[in-house]
Amino acid sequence: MKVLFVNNAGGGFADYVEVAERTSVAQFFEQRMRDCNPEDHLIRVNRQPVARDHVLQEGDRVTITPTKIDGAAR
Amino acid sequence: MSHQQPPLLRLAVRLQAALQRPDASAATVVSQLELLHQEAEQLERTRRGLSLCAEWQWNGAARCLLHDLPYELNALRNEICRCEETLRQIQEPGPTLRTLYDELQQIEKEFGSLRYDHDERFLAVTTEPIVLEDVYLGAFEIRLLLDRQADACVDAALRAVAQDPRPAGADGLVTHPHVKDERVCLGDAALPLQRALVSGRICDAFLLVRSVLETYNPDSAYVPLDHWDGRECSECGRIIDDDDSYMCESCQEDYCDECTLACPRCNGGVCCTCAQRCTACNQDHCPRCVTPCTQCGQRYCDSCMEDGVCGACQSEEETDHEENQREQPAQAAAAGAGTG
Repeated sequence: MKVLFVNNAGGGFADYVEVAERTSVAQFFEQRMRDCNPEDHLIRVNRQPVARDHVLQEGDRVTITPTKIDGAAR
Repeated sequence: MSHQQPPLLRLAVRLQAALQRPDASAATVVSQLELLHQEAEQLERTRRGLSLCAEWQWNGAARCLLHDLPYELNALRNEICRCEETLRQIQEPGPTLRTLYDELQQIEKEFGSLRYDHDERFLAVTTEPIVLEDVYLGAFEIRLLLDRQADACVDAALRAVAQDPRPAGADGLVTHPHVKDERVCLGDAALPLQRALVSGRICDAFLLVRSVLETYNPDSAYVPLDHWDGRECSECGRIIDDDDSYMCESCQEDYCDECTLACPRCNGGVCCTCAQRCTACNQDHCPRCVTPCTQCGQRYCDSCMEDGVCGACQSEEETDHEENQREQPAQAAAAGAGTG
């Protein structure tokens, strides 16, 4: 099934990705954000905070935004 | 009965108008293709030239053409990229009203409130008070300037306004390690934030800025947090903590320990600029402890003067006095011989 994945970590791309049926949010994060800590990210499905075991549905909009981003100084 | 749109919907309509991309008419594309065509023609001229050089073995001319070829190829590549970017922007649809309405609803949920300033045309949310490494910085209002959101530099469209300012001691414009003069230096957030704004993902844009404000990057801060309460040495510019700063009692400015000294006479602090050197002992003193000799006018400390006269002048006075003393008996004897 396809879900819209908005990845605000890195390039900030939004694209439809293929995921297996009955994939949970935690599994989705593990697959797409390897080596990242879910505790350091805001995860929203259809603009709502969800539990880690929430199962994704066809057409869901999943947004992952880091809560820690390095700023800079000119 | 009047039907007023709910506030969020009215705001979504305004936002949609503000996020409208410039009309990309055929004329825009034609002018870009014209530039591309010019670069291609230049490349064709170079190709014909090289062909002639190869045929007639004009090696010197060939070298000149080959020298310019990389620049021509680069210019062509740049024009191609510009055309592609223009086409991409034309083809990418702007956010729908429904999308923007959903964005505004989500912003209210994530931040608790949302503010639209009609006069200055910005959308704003407020963070919770921010504390980084035990340094309290207060809450920040993040503003998205609707008239600037299409700017090439995404940080031009954003402001972070301190609500309870605790600026750095060394620079009053720095209210956060990554905020100076209300401008956020976005660092790693710049690219995802630009994409969020292009796509109309306003909530994501605010969340990204909040993430920058809630993170401390010690490798690139306007003022490091461990010097937050410090101040700048007025002489060398080094940032110094309060405990390591010294005030010059003459000019009242703050200095580091390398740019101040203790007056050997009164032990008061004095900076290198205000310090005055005694002409005799050559030691630096504070201005109060060095005064001009009443005879020669040079400056001396109290130890090198007596009754306002420096040692050199005193010696000279004594020498003159002795000479006078020697001369007086001779004069008296001369005067007595004259009358006898």
